[in-house]
Amino acid sequence: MSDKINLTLNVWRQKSPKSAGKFEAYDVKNVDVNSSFLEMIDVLNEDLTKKGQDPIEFDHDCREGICGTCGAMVNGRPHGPLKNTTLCQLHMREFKNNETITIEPFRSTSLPIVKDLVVDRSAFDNIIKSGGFISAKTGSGQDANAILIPKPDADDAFNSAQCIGCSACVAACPNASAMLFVAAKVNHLAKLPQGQAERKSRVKSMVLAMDKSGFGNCSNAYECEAACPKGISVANIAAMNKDFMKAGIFS
Amino acid sequence: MLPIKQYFASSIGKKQIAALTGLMLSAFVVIHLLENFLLFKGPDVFNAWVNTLQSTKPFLYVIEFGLLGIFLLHLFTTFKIVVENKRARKKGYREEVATKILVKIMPISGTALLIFIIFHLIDFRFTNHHGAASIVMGEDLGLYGLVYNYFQNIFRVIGYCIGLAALGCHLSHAIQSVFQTFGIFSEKYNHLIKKTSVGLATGLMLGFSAIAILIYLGFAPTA
Repeated sequence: MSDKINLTLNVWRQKSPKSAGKFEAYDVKNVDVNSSFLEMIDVLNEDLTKKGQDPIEFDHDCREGICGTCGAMVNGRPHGPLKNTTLCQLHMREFKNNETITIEPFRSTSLPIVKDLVVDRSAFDNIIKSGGFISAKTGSGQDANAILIPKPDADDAFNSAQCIGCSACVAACPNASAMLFVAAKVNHLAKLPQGQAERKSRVKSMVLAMDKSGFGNCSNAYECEAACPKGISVANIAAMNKDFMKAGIFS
Repeated sequence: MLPIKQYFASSIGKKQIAALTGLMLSAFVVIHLLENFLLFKGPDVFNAWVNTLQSTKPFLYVIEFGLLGIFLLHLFTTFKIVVENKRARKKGYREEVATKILVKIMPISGTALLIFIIFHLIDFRFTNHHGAASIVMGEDLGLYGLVYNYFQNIFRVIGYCIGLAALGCHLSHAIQSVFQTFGIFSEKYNHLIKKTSVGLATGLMLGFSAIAILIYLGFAPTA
């Protein structure tokens, strides 16, 4: 049984946000099947550095699948072929010996490429800044039973809260829409009593901030849900549509 | 509350306009199919219904202009949506995300439908309902005769069926989409919504096409 595989990588190389960029092919030999996808690029990068070439730039932080920093298109799928898995938690055992892998950055006008596989997710931060929080005095934690939350609501809120803002939804969407991200953030707070005070203003300002950033419109292709490493459901989008309508027209 | 202009300029607002106008147009198409079934009742019954509609003028014009308005609003809104969507990703992927084909071709099926509707209106609405084209076996059968003669040509039948295929493709995604856009989502009933959408779209496509084919095959009475 072989624990090592050989691969050909077609990687998008782009020096700066404005430069044109192109695909470059790399042959990587003896890749340990137990290494993660990012570790595989680490090894290649060491090699490139030793040769005096520019290493492939990519974003990462925790490498535990919980921070939402990593992410790239692997063979036409955000975060690669494994469902509910971030790129850092994807392991090379998912690939075959002598396979050719295409690695591209997440592409959208609103999240522009900084370099190689790194994209600027400031547009997401701006959406959160516009209302993705509750205005409450911080201090010591309240008594756990001071605010009662029904279990199904807590579960729903938690499911939405799992969004790590990695932007795979935008990358997967044929229209580069950010609806799943925004909907997850809106619903996380809309499901909890603490979120009610600003519920209406929140959904309005977050949707308008999303539009202002230039993301596309949702056409219900549901590719976002299929690509989401946290399995966020498009039910969030339906709920946000309803909330936006309530807040925008009927209040 | 948002200013009405701002609401309908938002991404969700635009989609709700597209969904609502689309739903109204779909309702018209359903009524249109039911009317077309009258063709099999023979020229007298069909033309009597046509005359009933004509007798409601000028109210009929109000309905027609209303439909035109809804249609143009649908066209304008969806066009804006498509332009914005293209702008949101200027450079595509080398390896495309495998999007469901019917969703991907919504603008194409929509454009095909637009072209079909223009020809359809020229052929049946903005033409003389009496005269040479309406004569079947020496008798002027009015709009009935026009339809009857039109579908004696196999190429017109094929062209008509292609137009209806575009309708089927467009509506099978569109109808279920309306529910999502207005926030109607339920794990329990979603499969039903989806089946109804595909079923209704297929039903409309097959219904209209069958009428054209049956007329071509001589199943429509001539007296």
